Amino acid sequence: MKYIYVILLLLVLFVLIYSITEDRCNVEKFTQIDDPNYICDDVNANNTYTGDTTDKLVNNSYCTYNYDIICNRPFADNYDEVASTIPSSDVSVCGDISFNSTGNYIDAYVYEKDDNGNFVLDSSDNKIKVKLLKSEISGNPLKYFDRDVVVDSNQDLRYSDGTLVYKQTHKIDNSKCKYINNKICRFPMAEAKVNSLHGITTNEDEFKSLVNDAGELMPNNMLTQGVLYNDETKLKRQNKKRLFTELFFSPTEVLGEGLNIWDEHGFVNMTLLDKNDNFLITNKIITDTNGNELSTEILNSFIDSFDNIINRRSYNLGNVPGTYYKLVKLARDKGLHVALAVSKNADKYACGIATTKAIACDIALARCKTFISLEKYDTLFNRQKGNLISELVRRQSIYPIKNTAYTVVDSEVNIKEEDKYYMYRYYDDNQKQNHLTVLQSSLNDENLDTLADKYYRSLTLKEIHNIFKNSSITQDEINSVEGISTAVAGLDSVMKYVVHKSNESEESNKCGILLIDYERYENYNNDGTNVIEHCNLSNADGGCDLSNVQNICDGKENCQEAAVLGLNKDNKCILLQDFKLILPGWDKYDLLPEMNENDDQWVNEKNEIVKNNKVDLANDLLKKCEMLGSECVMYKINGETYSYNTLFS
Amino acid sequence: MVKHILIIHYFLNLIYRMSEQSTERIIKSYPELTAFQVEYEGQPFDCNKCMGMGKCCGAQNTQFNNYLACQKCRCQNLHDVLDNTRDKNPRVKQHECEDCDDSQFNSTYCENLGHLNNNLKPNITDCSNNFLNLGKNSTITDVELRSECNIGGEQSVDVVTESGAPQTSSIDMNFVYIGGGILFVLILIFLLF
Repeated sequence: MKYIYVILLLLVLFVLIYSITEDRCNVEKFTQIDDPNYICDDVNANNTYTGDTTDKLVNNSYCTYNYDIICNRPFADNYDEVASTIPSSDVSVCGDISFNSTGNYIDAYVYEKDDNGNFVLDSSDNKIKVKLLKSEISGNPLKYFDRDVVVDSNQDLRYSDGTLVYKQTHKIDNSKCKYINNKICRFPMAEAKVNSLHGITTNEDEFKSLVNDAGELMPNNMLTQGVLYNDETKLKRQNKKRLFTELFFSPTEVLGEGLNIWDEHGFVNMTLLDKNDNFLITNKIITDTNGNELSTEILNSFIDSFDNIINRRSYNLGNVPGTYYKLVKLARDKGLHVALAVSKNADKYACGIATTKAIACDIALARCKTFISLEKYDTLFNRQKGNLISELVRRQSIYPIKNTAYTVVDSEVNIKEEDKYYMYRYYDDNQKQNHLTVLQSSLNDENLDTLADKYYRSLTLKEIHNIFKNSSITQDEINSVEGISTAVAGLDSVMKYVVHKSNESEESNKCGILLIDYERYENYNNDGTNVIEHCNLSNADGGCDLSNVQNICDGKENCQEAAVLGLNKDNKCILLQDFKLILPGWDKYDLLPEMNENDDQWVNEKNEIVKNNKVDLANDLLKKCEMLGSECVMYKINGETYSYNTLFS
Repeated sequence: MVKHILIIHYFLNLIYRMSEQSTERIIKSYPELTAFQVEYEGQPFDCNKCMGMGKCCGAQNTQFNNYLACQKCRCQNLHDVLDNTRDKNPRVKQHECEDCDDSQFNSTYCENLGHLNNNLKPNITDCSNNFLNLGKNSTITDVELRSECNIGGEQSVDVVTESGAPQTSSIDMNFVYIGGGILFVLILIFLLF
């Protein structure tokens, strides 16, 4: 009987281990379908090419990675949270220095410093680790960050393997070491094609009716009123029309939320975008009750909710962009990237601007999810005026540090006397008190919308992520924000409510990335792990005969094609191919406007139709494949083996 | 002498205030339709924009980007609206619309296209972000803020300066020349009398 129990126990353990490892493989193992024309030269990849590179092109979007390579952008679908910034001291960190350049290495040791606060260096110019003293730990047996420690004959502390014990800020756990490669981050694709008038119209006939004989677009004549459409459709059409006009059609006016541009530190208004890359100051001038004029300087920098000083400098683009593509042009000239995120109903959108495409996407997506239109401020922040003023006073109580030329070089809050430089000028206590008085008074004079706007727009991406992480909201808080109860919730509750509503509408009104710089964002499933098992990609035996993949378009103008692989219900490989022509037989197609940067022309309808046509074709084919079977992956688009390359280059 | 210093101070202050006004402000207004306006996309549309835009004041010019809005103007010129949005100005005023086939704009047609309703929305302007681009190179100095943002009379005044230079450096030099010129003339007058 005892043996039966043991066997049963082993069986249960086997099933458990099997199910855990199977799940792990499904999630983490990724296989890119090989393309003989391209090679991967990333040393961290599984398929790093070591052969002759003649006649080969390096394209690392064809690399295959295992689970040690992760995406570390919080709003990506494949986000893997690792400590890449200094976490709280109770969190274990990666201490393997080989992960320093592209991984999540954190130096957890404490180093010796001299009286001036500079690091003391040894003869090889290395920093010297501080030894842990016996007096700094206690217990029996002695332990330091869960490791046994002994005292040697010199009264030094040593681990059981004999190595000296150095003082640490965090526990080191090298199993947490990961290589961060944010180029593999995957974000949802946008469904609302607001980049093109063709994309927002119901059908081709409607689009054609909105183009005049000269090929000029007439978006204003798109019908959004009347009895033809129900209220829901009318609203969607209004939203799409508004976004197309605002972002892609009208370069001379910036209306409403404009381009709604954000960076990691908050909202980027036109002044911040246009001016020299430096600190901006707002000189607040008020008149007190005695008729005296008081003034102070308010920096664009602020203190976030983690009490960090967020220094904001302007971008020096030297131009005010009226359209998305002009913004991209100006940003690219400065080496920056721009992404545009739009919700399915086109009622939420945001542009992200950052140094990498992945960060730009992350920002755009976060801000799209938490989008608050101008007309919603007063309902969401109703009864919050007091809280808003208190929080804004806290956030803006930050003072400039100026050099002798009165240039702001930094900012401070409570800088210690010994940290001050003789040559720099700091606010004295009177100036700080004056700052508080003017700030408080000017904020009291602002309307609720303005206060809510200032607060909402000063939230950093890190703060937004933190709200998402702690977004559980009580019914009392919901009732308070919705005005059902008389209780006044805090500002945190309002933002949690915004996130709560965003999560609720995730299915029906999901935000996705529409564009990165000039390109349509494309993210199709191309994990060939299971398909490759069942489809013999090198020959036809027992699988799809891939030599049968036809060149459908065969050079035909305005034709695009795609091929998808999948498995049918008998786990046999299926190959689907399709093509899509762009507005066939329509003589005005060639007259449609195209972007011309040199001529300050930013309407790009002709090219946007081509981009959207390709994405529509690929998505439709994948959907068809999923109707017939499973494990559907994108194989080829326009003759090229598909790889997830949007964030590369 | 004190008087002179006060005058100089006044003018410098004036120049300082005339430099770039900070516009971090949200302004909400509730538009009303005039006799020349209809609602289009939630905002007032000036029917004068239709004048000279072809057949029937643009309303039957299918090559014109605003012909649908101009149709609304025509409809509200010919028929009473179905809501109470035109109490003060019951019909849109239009003169000399030529080449009109008004049989197209019968009440059924106008009603079906929603041309006899005005769904005005509050006009909310974000002053930090709303511009009318007038200049060729579209920098902050050659774009114009929405007019609501330029209305003065606030109790507090914001002036944005770049910190990369002394604060006066961001002042438009034209104002410096004008202010300096006026100041110079005034000093001359004072010295003369």
